[in-house]
Amino acid sequence: MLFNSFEFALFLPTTFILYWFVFQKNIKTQNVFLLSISYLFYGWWDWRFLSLIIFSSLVDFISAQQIEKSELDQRKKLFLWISIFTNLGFLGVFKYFNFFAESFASLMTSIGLQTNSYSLNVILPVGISFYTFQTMSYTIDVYRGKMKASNQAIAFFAYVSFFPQLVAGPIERATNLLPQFIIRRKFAYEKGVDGMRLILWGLFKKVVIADNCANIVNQVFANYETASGLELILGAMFFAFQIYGDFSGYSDIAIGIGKLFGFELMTNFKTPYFSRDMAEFWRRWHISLSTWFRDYVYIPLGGSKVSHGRVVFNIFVIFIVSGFWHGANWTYIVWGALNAIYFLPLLLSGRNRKNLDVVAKNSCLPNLKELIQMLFVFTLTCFAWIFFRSESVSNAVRYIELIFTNKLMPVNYNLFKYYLPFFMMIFMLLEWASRKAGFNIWIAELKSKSYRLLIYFTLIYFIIAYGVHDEINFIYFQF
Amino acid sequence: MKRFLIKVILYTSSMMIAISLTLVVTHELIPISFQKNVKFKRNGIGFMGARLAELDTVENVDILILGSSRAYRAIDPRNFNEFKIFNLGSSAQTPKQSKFLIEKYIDKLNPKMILWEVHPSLFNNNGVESSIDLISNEKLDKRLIYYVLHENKIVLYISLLLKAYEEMTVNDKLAINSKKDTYISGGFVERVKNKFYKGKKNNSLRTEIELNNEQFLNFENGLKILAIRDVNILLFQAPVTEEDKTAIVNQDDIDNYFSALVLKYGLIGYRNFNNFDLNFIDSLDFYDSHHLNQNGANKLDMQIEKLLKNLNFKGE
Repeated sequence: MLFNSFEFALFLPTTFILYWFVFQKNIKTQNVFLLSISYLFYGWWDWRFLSLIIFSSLVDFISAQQIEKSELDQRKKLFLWISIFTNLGFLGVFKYFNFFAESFASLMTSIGLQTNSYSLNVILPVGISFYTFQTMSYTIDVYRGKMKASNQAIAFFAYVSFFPQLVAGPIERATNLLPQFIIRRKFAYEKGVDGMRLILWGLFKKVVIADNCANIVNQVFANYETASGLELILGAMFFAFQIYGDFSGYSDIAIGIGKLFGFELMTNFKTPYFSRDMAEFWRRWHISLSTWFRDYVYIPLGGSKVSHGRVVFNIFVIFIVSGFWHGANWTYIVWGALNAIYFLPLLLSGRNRKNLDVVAKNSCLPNLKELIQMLFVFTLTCFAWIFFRSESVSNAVRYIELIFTNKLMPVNYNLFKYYLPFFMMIFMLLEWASRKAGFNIWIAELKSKSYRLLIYFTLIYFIIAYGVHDEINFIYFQF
Repeated sequence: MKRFLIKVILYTSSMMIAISLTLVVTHELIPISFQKNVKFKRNGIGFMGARLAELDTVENVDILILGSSRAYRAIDPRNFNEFKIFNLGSSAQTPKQSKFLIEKYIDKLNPKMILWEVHPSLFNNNGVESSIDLISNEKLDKRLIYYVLHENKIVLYISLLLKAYEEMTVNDKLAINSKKDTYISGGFVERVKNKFYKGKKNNSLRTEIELNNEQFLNFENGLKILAIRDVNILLFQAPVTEEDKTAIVNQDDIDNYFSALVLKYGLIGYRNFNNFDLNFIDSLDFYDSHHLNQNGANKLDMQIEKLLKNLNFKGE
């Protein structure tokens, strides 16, 4: 079930009312209800893959309990590895098997050996990369003694499958989300309103910005050989907006729905395109994934408190693994490596934590230096997005080559709709205005109620009159 | 909680009213090229308004034509003196809209034969454009509202809203300002004389057309309705230019599908006019890659007349 679908428009209010009016009295029945609707939400797409979530939850629930009960380190480790192998095993089979089999076969062919490439005919279960990482973090945290193992199976299962963030995050840590399933939840008016604001903002980003950009991006990337230089540049730029609108839109809706049900989910994006360097960008982009890799991969590898050579290695590992997490394709690996290259000079020169505050914190507009820095970072990210969006690395290289070798003009104005730049401008203005605290808080702090109403009205009008209502999947579902 | 729910209901209803009014105002003020989902085509490019207005005065025809612009620009009632023909084709008419029109007008028109144009692209289409044409020109009644509710698309709800507004405010619903086309009594649309196809700037891409299940279902349901009434049905594909003819990779499979339907529903036949050597010349008989000009329409109509004679079909 998609957030931008008619089914979900019925599902959300129905479950919301049942949740607060029928199941409110008892936390256990409320959790059973949450678990049921989460499974219904996921099963709407393909009920067969519910078995994976249930099995993964069961393994992690038992493993964590065994880790806590065990006094022997070896036994603790055994159950930790059972959890990790199960989750990574699912990923390996459903997501990466064919990639490794095909890459191995082409490697063999390149050195003159003939092999029969074997591939599995499997569908990638939606959201598998998200819930496996979420549930793995739980057993690791229990192993590290950062939290106690849960003895409430329903609460734990509901945490793993919590429907707003089940298929595309944010990847919640058990330390943040699991306790919220155990304490009694009360509806708070302000939180509910906050949730509605985020849902509205997320929908605008998805159906107006991302899906309108998608039409252009799909055309340009499908016909890049015949596109003009400017069309290719615009194609990459529009993809930057598409992926941001799509993914951060999903996160906003998820966080908003979480609030409606009395939960606080972590912030996943903080206006990343207003970053002044790549380190800042990575502190603001897909925060739940980058902090996951920081805590469970980078720091255990030694982080930055090791030799320079080792730091370089560690950075490449987390960026490449992070790229590979997105999908079984060399394009994602190159995208990850490129970002490592962008990031490394900052880290090695000790300038990676230079821009910790929001840009133009005490002024309305950025100064010239900040503006140039932001444009530079945006250009670098757009360049990397070309690899992320292309079908193959060779296609991406060719795309970049054609930017410089094809004629700069003309631009197909039928493709680039007149109204799109206008929406981009409104989108960027609202993003800029809310850069300090996020859209929901910024709008709540507006003194004039009429301004607030005007903004709500404008967003709803644009969603209806200019949104794409073909129920297009969110990009990150494929990961 | 109650406060929250009351506010949500209040906000939602007042926003809906305000947005409905804004949609009407923007429809009037903002040029069409700046619009996306606000679509309303009074009379449309295919003269649907004029066709439906004429339909009010027509009853009991020999032959009814259904299909897209390839139908209403190809079968000219003036070429069939022996038969009473009405061409109920409309722009990009997919089986969804054909079924709607069949259900609404079949009793009144009571045709002996239906010629149903079935270009594969119509089965690979969500039907939104044609639905907008239908909503813009049909009478606002329960059937139309039910149709929109069944389709359940925001863009169609907006068209319905604009339809309601136009019903209340606009008197001249048939106003159209086309210098290229003329509406001919009987549902035909004639392109201005001496308009000839000059070839495409880019070659057509060869594509495999995936047929949409929902359209299939509507198509077969339409055939079932007609089967009960014992109407003769001939499915056909109108001629297209050489380049468009070869653009569909799976044309053979599609032909086989329609041929199978002939047997399944006891139709009188399926004829893809592109599979016969009928001497259509791209630069003489078409005005674009997939629409016949008047020369082409006259040529095709002669073929259809021959076919009807072979089938021993007679009018009143």
